[in-house]
Amino acid sequence: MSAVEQAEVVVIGAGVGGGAIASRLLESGVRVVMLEQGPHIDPLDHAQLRTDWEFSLTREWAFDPNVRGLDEDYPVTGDGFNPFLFNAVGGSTNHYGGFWHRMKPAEFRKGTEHGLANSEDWPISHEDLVPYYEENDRRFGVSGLAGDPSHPPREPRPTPPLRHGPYARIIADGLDRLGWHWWPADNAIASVPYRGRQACNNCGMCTPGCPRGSLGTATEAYIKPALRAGLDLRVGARVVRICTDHTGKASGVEYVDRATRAMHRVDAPLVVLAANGIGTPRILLNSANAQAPHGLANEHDQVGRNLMLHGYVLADIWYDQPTGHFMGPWGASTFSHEFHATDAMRGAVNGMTLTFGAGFGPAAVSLGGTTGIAPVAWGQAHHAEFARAFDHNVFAALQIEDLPQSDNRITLDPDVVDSSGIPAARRHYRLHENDRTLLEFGTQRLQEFATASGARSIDVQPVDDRYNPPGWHLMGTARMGARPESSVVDSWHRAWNVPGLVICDGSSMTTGGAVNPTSTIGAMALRCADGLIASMRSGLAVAADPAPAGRA
Amino acid sequence: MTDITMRHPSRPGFYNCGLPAAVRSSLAEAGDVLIPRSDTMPPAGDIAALFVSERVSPAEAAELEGILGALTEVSVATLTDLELNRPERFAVLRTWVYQAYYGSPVVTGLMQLQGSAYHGAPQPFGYELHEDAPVPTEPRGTFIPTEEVVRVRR
Repeated sequence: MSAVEQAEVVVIGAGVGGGAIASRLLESGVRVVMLEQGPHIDPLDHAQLRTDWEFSLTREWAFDPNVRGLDEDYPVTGDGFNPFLFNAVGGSTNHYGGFWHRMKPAEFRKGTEHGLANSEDWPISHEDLVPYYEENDRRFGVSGLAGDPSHPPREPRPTPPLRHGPYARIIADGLDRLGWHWWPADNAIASVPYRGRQACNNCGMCTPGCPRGSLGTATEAYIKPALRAGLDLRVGARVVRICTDHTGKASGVEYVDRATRAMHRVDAPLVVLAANGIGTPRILLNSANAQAPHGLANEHDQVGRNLMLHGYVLADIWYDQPTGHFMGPWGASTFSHEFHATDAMRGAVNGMTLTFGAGFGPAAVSLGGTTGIAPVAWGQAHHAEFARAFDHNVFAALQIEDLPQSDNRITLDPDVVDSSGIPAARRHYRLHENDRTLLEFGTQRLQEFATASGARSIDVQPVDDRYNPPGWHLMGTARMGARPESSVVDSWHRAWNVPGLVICDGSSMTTGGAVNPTSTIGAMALRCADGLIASMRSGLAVAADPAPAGRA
Repeated sequence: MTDITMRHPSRPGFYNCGLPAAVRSSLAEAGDVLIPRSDTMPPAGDIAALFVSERVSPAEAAELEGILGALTEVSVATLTDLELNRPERFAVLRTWVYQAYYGSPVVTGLMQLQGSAYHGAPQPFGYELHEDAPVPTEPRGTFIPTEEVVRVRR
């Protein structure tokens, strides 16, 4: 172990949550050490510069760390979903489409609305987050169009709507024929040059990052500005545990340098944990000690529970006319919230987003598109069938708000460790019957859309024994709440019973909404940072109020 | 703190493994059956053999050797039989061949020559798009304000 260092704040994780908090603190003159187990990613590391870019999606740019198997990745054992996360500076925003939704007011009030399973009201409201949503949008250079009547009025987007391939018109016409709500999707993609970043050049593929910087990542939005402000960012720094003092207060972090295998310790009066919905509970559980034998902030056995992902059904829709699915931003072109609000007539509570947009390239199309359900025929028919498939695809996703359930959770694997010898995360996830009903309802709507839009055919992932959804959105595993008995942090992200520990990432979300969460994570983190700055300036301890908290 | 750069296990030569000559030959034969020559496009055999040899890991090489070695010969009949009776093994073979073929600059170049706008590597060129995104002519939709959220009847 090297000599113990002292810092004002240690932030674990260089994704959106950690990046936003670190950036905000640095702007206020606070010195921050940030620990990130992954590497920096050089622009030339991105796959889009290679003809075989689609192959790289099965290797170092795979969504699943178990597939990538890189040294910076930790295994995620168990079953029930595909764990999708990325360990690098910028976190999982290195590997996303930038679909950019805000949660709507009712999505913060699911306890009031139905209280099914472990659904609770958030201890904050949509209105509490609005100013932070706006600022986060500016940081990311979000593109989009104002005026969607399905959302509360808001400021214009920082950049105009993106352009898309011919698929956007096909989608719009289909939704118009059905008379359903639709709107051009917001994306965290700069459509014009923005704050030193290049405009999107419609290359067709966002998920292996963006070498141009057009895709709004945590690196572009927060880490680069934070570095300019003096952030002490340490890459390859894998956290072993969060330390506490004799009173149970968080006192620092121990980490291992993956390159040298040397152990280090940084002490600080404030530790911010932002390692995503799997990494965060893993670190809390791995930080068990004599005072907290079941893991840090886990007095009520809530750490790792209430895992939400959004139930998903993906679809490939095939058309006779060209769709241009390989051009334009991969971020969604269009979404529909026709079925977003709860309607008990469906036989289930909560709602869904239908998302439409570009597909992948020729290799993916030959292998059946996003779903892989119907690969192009082999043999003499191959070339003719490929010509009917390539440039004739549209991607669609049904995304429902899944219920928080105690048994859907992240634990530690008793047998498997990462490359540093630290216990791996283990996952368990099953759909609630309410989730299944919503997915079946939404699947029928996707099929209606395919017909209305003049599709030749649609391939839809089934909701049956083979259901194994993408875990793009890892939420709820250290959730925010009004009571320590059913949550891990309070309304300001302060861990119950662990002064000096703040947790802010997807794990903080009380319920998941029916929309992509990155915008909400960024807004939460900016608000959290303002709370920390206020505490520091007032000389107040960063500690959760044990009294039942009212809504902020 | 040591800087750690990203590794690239998809890049040619990363595993420095290759395929035994017999496996490479069988893979080339299988590629030609799965994607045969057309009037305008080449067969997949040699393209797949080269692509896979440059990128395969030791475990994947062993898997391919097992799949191809179990065939009495490479033909439409034996691959049809493999697809019917060992679909998971067939899928591995097909995935390699299709990935190789459509990741090849020769193939994507020929696609472009025949009129496709797809130009291979997405960057650095991207695509020029001239039409603005469609906008609803009849905006629809509503939301429930915070203070109006009530218990639903189920």
